[in-house]
Amino acid sequence: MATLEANGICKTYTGPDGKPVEVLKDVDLKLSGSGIHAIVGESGCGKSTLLMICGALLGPDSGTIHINGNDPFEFGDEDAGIPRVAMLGYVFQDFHLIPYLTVEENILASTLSMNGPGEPANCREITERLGLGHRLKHRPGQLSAGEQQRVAIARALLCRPEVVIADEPTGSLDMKNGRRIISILREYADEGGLVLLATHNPVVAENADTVSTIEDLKIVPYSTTSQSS
Amino acid sequence: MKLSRLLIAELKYRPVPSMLACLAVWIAAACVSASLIILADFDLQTDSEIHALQERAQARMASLENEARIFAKSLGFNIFVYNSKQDLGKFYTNDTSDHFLTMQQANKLAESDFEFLNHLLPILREKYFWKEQSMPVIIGGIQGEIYIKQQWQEPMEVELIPGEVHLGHSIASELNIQQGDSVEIEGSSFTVTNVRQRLGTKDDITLFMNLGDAQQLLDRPEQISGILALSCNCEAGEIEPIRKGVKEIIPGTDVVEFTIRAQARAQARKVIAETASQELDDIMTSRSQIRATLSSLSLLLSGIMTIVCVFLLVFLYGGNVRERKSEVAILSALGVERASIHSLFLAKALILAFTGSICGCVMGLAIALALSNQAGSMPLGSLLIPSTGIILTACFLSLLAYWWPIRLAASRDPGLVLNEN
Repeated sequence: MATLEANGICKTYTGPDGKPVEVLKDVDLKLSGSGIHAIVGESGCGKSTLLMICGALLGPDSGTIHINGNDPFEFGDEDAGIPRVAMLGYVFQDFHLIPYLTVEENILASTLSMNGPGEPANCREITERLGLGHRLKHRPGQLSAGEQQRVAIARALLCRPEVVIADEPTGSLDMKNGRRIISILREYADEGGLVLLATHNPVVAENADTVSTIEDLKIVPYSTTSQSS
Repeated sequence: MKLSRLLIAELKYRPVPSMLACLAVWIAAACVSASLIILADFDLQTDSEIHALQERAQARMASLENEARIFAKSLGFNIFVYNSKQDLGKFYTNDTSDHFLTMQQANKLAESDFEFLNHLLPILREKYFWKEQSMPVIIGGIQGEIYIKQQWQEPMEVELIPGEVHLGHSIASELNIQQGDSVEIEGSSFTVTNVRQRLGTKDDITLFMNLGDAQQLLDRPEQISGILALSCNCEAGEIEPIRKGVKEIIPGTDVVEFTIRAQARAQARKVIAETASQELDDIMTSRSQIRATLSSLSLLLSGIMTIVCVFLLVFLYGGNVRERKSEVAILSALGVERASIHSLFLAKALILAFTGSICGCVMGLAIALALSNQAGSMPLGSLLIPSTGIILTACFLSLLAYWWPIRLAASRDPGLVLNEN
């Protein structure tokens, strides 16, 4: 059973005028078990920052993050003890695929940190499940936005991580592709995975098991009241 | 998936900057390689020319020395035969002998079959106070020449007959005596038959008289200070056979060569050696100057090309990393360690530099072959060593040019980089 725990997270950026812009203040978040947890809120409220900190892509000014009791900033390749890709998968709103690699190579890029031989056995299976079987030799520039996001999800899920963090996974997609992405994440959650996603799409939020929002720099349980305020 | 697969894809992607980097290394390596090989070729060529010149100069020197020896041999040796007990230093200082030879010994030498002798002049030389004139002089008793058995020689010294004297220039000047005057010595009258020219030697204060008169005046009957043997010839052109032959004929004697002649021979050899050496030195100096100029030009060209190449690499690699920073961030987000990301880009830098420098060295060799005479015959080591140096330097500089930007890119939070994009 996966757990994700954030305690006392603070983050301040430097604004364009050089003045500090506080984004998160003493944020606590605790998720455990499987399922989809959504964080909703307006653009600029700090959702992406919180997700990047939880995904160890951005260092907090203070506070700690633990996934299954381990500091994700210590994750690395196999030599580091805990392979990051086995613990954590990350899906970006803008996909962030490597443009000169094929679909297959982009998916397999998540195994770069694995020193084991060959490709994971589930590579073919996951690409078929995501409807990418016929696109394996294509490059990202030759794919639609929905296909690119599916490649990004395939890359995140390939090594069956304990936790998947998805930042606005449907933000660049149309409704149909958005639903497809949500169904993929739901399948993963139903198979025992823990998904933390950020969205401002109510449809996505409706598909989540739990929903939170960020208010006054802190995370609070989501309610229609808080949304309206 | 292995990093090598990513590296291959990376090299194929946007090949123009990579090709430009490779080309920069290629051209720089070609220039450096060509200049080094041409410089080595210059060394090789001038070394062989100087070696040939040295051989020619040595042969010429040997030839000149031989000619000088033959010339000196034809001049012959002027030697002085004296009693071996006589301290020559004292003789020269006092102008008086302590130990004498006899006229019998002089005659024995003249009558011998010793082939190297030409002119023999027995002399008696002694300091004397001329009472009548209250003047110290040197008495030089000379007989003229002893005729050597079976030979006829042109007389080398005027034969003084008894009762005649020759005065040295200083004596005659001081006493105001002229040729034809009579002088009194120990009560005997002598006719001055010659006033000798000024020589600047002790002859200017010498009173020359017949040897017999001198022996009588000095109370040295049959005694002589020594024998001057002039123009002695020896096949070998060396004094030692003459010295040995004289000693065998008249034991108890020693032979000394007049130093002026010996010095002249030594001087001749020295001048010849110095001339040859100077000629070589001039050539070496000229060669060193040309070498220094070529070396400076080569260094300048190599330095400029290397600096331009490094700047180009820094610019191209820096630009490449800036373009690819999101990919670096994605790799970080996928858990690829910084060391692996570094090694990916540094391997690329290494491949580009290695390829470029190998091609550059081959091109440099081709240029050198086209421009120089002996590059083709240069030993393999002379070509391989600079080429190896160039390849290693190119790889090192290329790694250095990539290392800093990739280090900066990989050290940033991937989240920040991806947000910027």
